[in-house]
Amino acid sequence: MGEHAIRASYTDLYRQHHCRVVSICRLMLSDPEDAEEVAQEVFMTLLRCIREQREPVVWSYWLTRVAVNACRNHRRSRWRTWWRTSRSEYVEERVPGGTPSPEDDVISREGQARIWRAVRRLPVRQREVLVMRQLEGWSTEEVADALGVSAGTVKQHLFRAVHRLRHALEAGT
Amino acid sequence: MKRCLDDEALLWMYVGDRPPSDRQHVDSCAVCGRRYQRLLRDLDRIEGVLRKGPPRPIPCQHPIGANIWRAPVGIAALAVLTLGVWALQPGTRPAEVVNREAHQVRVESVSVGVGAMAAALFADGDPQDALVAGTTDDDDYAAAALHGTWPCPRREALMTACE
Repeated sequence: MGEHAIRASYTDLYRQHHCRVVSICRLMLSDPEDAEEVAQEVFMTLLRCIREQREPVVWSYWLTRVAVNACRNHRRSRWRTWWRTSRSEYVEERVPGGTPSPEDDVISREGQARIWRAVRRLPVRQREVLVMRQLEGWSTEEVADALGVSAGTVKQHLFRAVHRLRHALEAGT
Repeated sequence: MKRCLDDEALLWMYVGDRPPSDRQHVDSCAVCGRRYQRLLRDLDRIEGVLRKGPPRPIPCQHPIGANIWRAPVGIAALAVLTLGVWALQPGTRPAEVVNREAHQVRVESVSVGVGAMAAALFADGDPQDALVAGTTDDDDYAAAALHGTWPCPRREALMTACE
């Protein structure tokens, strides 16, 4: 594959998946700076993969998996950002990239912050399952295969994560 | 008629961990059906919030924030840890703790020396005699010298001087 084709392929994939990958990273890491950093790492990995012509079958599936793994690795060295994130609190300002939905009118801003605080308190595994199964729409078996756990474990993590988030949602109603 | 499912059972059904009979019940029961629809609606709302990304975190604006205790507690914990390590090292223990007996011996030898000196200083006759013979009042002299008072071993004879 020539350099021009590589660039074209990379640009196309970047446009298609960048927002989604950043969204996953923000969900996994909470801190936007860390999320942007990890998303960049993910796309650097993508570029290397294209150059080496190791094209996976489904790019979206591959990118999600790489993003989740990169976030997990980043969290292992997260102690250096502990002070910064622990002294932060959510404000009402919204990040660009999403379109307003009717749910925004129903859920108060305080309610949205409460849901995100609940997400922030979820264990890493529960976050990973929530992202892959609930937001990315993977099947239970796909998530289990990607995380190296059983399907029953995936269900338990999803149950606990959703239970906590729903509790956070109902707390303000 | 099958018993209605509670919220947890409905959630388990959603994640796919309930028998098909529960699903059939939810489909046929109006109450459970409404509650299951409410669960799905809540999940949609949560998903909508999560898809938009988190609100931007900013540094804490409050001078007395919820985490303000972290710095002093951390410093105090570090200080206690340092002191603990320091105290456990033999070379850094206080002298009276490490060698209390040697210290006691030094005190006793100084007391004896001061006693002998006091006997010589306050002897009635030749000081050399007092040093050589020693007296039964050595302890009194020593005690008086240590307390900075005038020794009066024979108060009857030296009443004037003592007074």
